[in-house]
Amino acid sequence: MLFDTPIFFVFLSVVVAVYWCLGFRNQNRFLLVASYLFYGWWDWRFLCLMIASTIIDYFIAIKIADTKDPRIRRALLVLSLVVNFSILGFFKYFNFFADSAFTALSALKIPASLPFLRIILPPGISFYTFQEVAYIVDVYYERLPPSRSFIDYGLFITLFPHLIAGPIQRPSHLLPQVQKPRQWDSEKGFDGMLLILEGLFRKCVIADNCALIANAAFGGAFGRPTIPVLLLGTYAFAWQIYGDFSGYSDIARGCAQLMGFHFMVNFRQPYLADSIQDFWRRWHISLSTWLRDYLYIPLGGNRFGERKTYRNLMLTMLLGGLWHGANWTFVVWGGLHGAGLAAERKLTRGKPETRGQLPRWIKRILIFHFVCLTWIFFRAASLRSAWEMLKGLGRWSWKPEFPAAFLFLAIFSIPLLLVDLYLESSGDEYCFASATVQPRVAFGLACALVIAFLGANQANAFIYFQF
Amino acid sequence: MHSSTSSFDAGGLPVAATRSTMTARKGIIALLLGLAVILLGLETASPFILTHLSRIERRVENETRDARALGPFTADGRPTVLLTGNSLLIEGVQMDALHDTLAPQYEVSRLAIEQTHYLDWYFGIRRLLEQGSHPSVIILSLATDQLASRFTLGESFAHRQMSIRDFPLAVREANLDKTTASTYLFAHWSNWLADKGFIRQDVLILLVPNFRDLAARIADHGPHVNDPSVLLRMAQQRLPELHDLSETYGVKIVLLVPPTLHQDHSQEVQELGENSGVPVWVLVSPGEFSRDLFRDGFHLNRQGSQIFTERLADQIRTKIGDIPPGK
Repeated sequence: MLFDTPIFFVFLSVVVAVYWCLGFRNQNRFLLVASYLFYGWWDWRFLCLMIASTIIDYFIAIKIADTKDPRIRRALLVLSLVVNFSILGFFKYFNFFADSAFTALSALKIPASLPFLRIILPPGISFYTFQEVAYIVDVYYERLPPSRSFIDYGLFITLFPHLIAGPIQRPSHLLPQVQKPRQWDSEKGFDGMLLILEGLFRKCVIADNCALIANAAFGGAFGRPTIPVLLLGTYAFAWQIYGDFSGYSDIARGCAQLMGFHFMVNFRQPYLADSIQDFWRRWHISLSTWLRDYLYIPLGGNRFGERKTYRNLMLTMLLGGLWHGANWTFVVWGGLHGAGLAAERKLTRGKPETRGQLPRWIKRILIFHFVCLTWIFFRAASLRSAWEMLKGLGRWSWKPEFPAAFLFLAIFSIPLLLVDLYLESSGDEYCFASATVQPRVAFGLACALVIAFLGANQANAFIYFQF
Repeated sequence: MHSSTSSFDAGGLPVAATRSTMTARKGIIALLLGLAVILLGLETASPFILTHLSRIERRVENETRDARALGPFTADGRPTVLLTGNSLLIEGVQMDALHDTLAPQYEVSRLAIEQTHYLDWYFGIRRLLEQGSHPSVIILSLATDQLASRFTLGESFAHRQMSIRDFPLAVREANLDKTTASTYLFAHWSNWLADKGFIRQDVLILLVPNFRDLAARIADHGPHVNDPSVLLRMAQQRLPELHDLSETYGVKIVLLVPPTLHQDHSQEVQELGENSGVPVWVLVSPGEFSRDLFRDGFHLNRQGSQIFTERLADQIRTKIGDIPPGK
């Protein structure tokens, strides 16, 4: 069920209506069943996998909490990590590693025949796996007690708004909300509805329209890559992926608020970042903070000298890249960000004044273009395609349809830039969040009208569903 | 760090709302009412908006209405011929010339919708015939890869061409996932869902100069069937379906393959047609028309369409009588 389809809104309306008619315990039971239905809508076999994975971690967490022997606790932690990452690794990376090994052996002229399995990637597996790992690690370090109710734990993992593409919820943030009764709050409900409308605007109007230009540029419909094609494709994809994923996150947060839950903010005007580090504080915040807390800091963070800090940064970003998909393009994308973060750290270390040398708007433009450059690898189907696209920087061509393409792109990207500038200056989570009720209603209805007239005509899957 | 308007503290737990609950409740009611008015307004007005904005839509509406009213013969006894297809038909056949040439013997009319493929027309013709249309002959113009395609025109197809009885079959044939299938179901009953893509396109034509040229380049025409074995397998499956349709409704059905620059395996499809009982007309061999008879490599230009129209007129005049009637 995609968030921008009629069936989802029927589903959501029924779930919210029934949910508020039930008592607390039945609310959780009902939401768990609804979330399973939401997930099983794709393929019931994926549902079995997710339930099995949830059950394993539920029991391991309780066992860890009930065991005093540190060696057993550690063994249980390792067992959980092995199970979780094995499932993720098999479904997401088996063919990638098999193919990479085959390519490497072939390059060394070693004859090899490796199995290639037709594996379908279960939706949202990367998201719920990370959430389960965070839970187990937090229980192991006694940051929170394990849930003794499978319903509560199951709901924390599978609550349908975040199930497929996040935001990745921290156990300490969401689990207590699941475990306590929730009261209907009109403020939260109203905010939720506006978040859903703003999210749909970002997805259907901005992302799905920019996707047309990005797909045409990367797919060769504008001819071989040249400077205008590269600019069109890269800018279009930059706004597409931002609109797509931030739109999804807004809809997820809005749906959660309709049921009395709060999800963390996942995007905070990322294209207004003035450094790469700042970009990662604004982009996919739930993932970047997860990587920081469960990978970068356990690796040592910046506590063991400069060289190890750079190593940890690179490792974190490389694995963060690989998390997005089983393709070397994502590894390069993560590597470029890791290298950028390391270089930035090297340049500014001990010299905080260097960050003030350039006007902030110039730094924002530079960072935006660095991020755009890395998006080429993220979007391209292969390293070869990414390289072909980059070679366009050395070629020039002009076609009669380019002015229309640039105008089209401007029409669908500038509004989101203006929204971000407004949010940055106001500090609001969404447009008119601090205004009185009338302008917020007007904003919501304006969003609905723009979606109605300019929303792309067919539902496209959210990009992050594939991760 | 949440904004000051959030109803949660930094730890994510509820705190007292900063604005009056009564106001927010009124806001929810106003928003829901406003959304309901917008939805109802769009649902009611979208056909009018579309026909007002779009010349193409007015043409399709007129052609559909005329096609529904077709009987096997005109009042003066001439057999009726209905040409159906997509932009290859619109740009490839000069209807006025064809109509004038054949007027003494046949009444020729057209129902063409851009970006349509086999499934649009298989279900579209079924629905048309169910609704009482009964031309003597239906000529379905499709390129061979369009014959093999699983692509449909989405919500518009679900609304205009798919009957609700055919919904399960359409889902299976188009290989739709559950979400898309549900959207088709909603679109079958909703004017707005069916029309919104066209309205958006017309709004963009107003906003972006030369948008038509851009749209032609960036439009998603669905996956092309390039593998000849897949193409012929699908043709082998689908030509008998057309034959069954012909038998069920007692209408002659012909497949017309438009000219192409490249090998399209139309000769093999023609042989399959002979075995299936569906005539496949290949009036121009692949590559026979040179590039200068095409506007863009796919659609014929004026000169190309003139030659093709003459050949089609000859074919209709001389061959239609040979086609066995449906039962």
